[in-house]
Amino acid sequence: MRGLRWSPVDIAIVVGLTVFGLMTLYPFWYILVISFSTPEAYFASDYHLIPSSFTIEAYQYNLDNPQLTRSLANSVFITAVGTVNSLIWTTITGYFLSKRGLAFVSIIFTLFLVTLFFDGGLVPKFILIRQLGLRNNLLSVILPFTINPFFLILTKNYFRTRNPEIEEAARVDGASAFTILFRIVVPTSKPILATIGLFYAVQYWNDWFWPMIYLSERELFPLALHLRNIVTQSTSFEHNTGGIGVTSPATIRASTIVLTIVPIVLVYPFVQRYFVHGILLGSSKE
Amino acid sequence: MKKTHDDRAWLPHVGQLIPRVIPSATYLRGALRDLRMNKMLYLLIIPPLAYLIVFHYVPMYGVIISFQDFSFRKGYFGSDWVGFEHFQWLFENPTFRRAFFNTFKINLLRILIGFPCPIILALLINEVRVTIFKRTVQTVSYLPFFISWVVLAGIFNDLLSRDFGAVNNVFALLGLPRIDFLQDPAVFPFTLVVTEIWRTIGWGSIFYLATIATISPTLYEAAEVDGANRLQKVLYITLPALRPTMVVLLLLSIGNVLRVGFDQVFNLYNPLVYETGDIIMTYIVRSFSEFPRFSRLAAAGFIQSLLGLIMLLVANEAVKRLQDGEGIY
Repeated sequence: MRGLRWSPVDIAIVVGLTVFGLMTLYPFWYILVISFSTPEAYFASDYHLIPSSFTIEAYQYNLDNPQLTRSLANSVFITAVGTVNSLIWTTITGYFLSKRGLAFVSIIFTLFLVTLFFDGGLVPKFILIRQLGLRNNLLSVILPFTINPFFLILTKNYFRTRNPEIEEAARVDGASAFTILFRIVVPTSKPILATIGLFYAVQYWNDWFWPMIYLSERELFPLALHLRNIVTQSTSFEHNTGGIGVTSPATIRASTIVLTIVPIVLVYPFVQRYFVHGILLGSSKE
Repeated sequence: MKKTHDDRAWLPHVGQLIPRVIPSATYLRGALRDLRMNKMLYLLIIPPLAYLIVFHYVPMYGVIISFQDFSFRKGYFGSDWVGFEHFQWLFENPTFRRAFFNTFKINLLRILIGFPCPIILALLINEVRVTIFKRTVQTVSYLPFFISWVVLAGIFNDLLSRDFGAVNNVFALLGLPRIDFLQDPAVFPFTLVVTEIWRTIGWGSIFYLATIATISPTLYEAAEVDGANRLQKVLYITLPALRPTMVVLLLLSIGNVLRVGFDQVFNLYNPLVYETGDIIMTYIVRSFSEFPRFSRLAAAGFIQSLLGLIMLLVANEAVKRLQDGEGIY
């Protein structure tokens, strides 16, 4: 065995990938360092590689700000309710579509596929939400996104890779479709459910666009939209004033950014091991 | 002689089409029995179908307002018809025309520069033999994909700023001129491309790494016996094996040219770079919040959806031809 004999090429690749990894992480580190800096240290440092000061003032300011805490609560609500709702219906629909023998499966699948290709667009959707009376209601940023056709296809394909014999045995024993789905299929499909669960959660947590369109009351804004308002307001202001005397200083902006990223970064490593597996199994055509 | 042969070959084809349009009695009986036997499953699918109709098909029908002078008071059915007036207005409008062409320019530039990047990353990651290092690089590289453009714009606004940004500070240190990445119209499209590569390179490499994992190790062993070096193995075994994946992903991204990039542009652009940065979706959303003329904006959305649909169908058809009848969808 040659084992791990390091050639110059090996070393070059490892060095190259290390640089790549650091470049990927640097923007996050940069904003993290700024979020703990004092305003003076922020203007004094060029690269924010090493923290030269440490203060939690920006976080304190943010957590004392009722607008921020409210938007945080809104984001948690949208993400929790949205993800659970989406997971339930995507699982049910994916399970239904994974049944090859049913007469209406291909028609219903086509109906879902069409939505991937053609979309009514912003204005008709806005009109719909207005006519349903859902404007300025958090349900307007949850219900329309119940089933994402991409995740539905992943789920359907994953269910099709399962061994049908166990289900058949349960059916012979008199279990209903509902029991089979939630007692047998769901517990044995963790990789795909964790994967699409993460995707849905990230999608709801990150969404600022539809909230911007459907919600006009500040009390209903999720964190991402609150952050967007801070970022766009302060940057346009900075451009005018050369960065001096900004309304919302860079450190406060940075701490809001960190608060928005933290939940994703915390959950991500635990789900990461599932998602590569989940996507690859789900995207393979049987 | 040849002509009659062609006619006969054509006839049964039409015959085969008929049962797909008008279901036969046998088919209907079978379908009804199927409904009875799987009552529970069909009951479960009713709410998703209702969702699909209300939140997807109703707005699709709503595109008819692009041909109307829509008002909420009169509704979909009572509003006056105006034909192609809005479409004509849009294509005569310089701002929309500019947004229309920018959409193509930015996204084609993105494909041109960005497409090879995940392939190179996947090849490099594949060459690493220390598993824990490999895993760490992969985990790190996927991360930015999960962060929204609102957050990334907040970071890049600071990082790429002309006067305080770390990137320009490095340039200044090296004696290079400072570049206004976010406010110089000539540079802005490249800023979009590079930041998008930074965000998606790791995620894009997943599909290539998965294909590499399916290559049989015996191929590499045989090549080694024949005295192939590392580069030769990459060039003659790995890359050819990646070709189908490359073709599919390339066609798919060409097919998606009209549909991507909104989140990024809308969060990074500003009036100084509208000239090169404004795309159809940002034009629609900006006009929507400034001065909503529903019908006209619905028409702009319809143009984008329709062209996007055509491009995607063409791309899918191309993939199908290349892969023995297997489309992407």
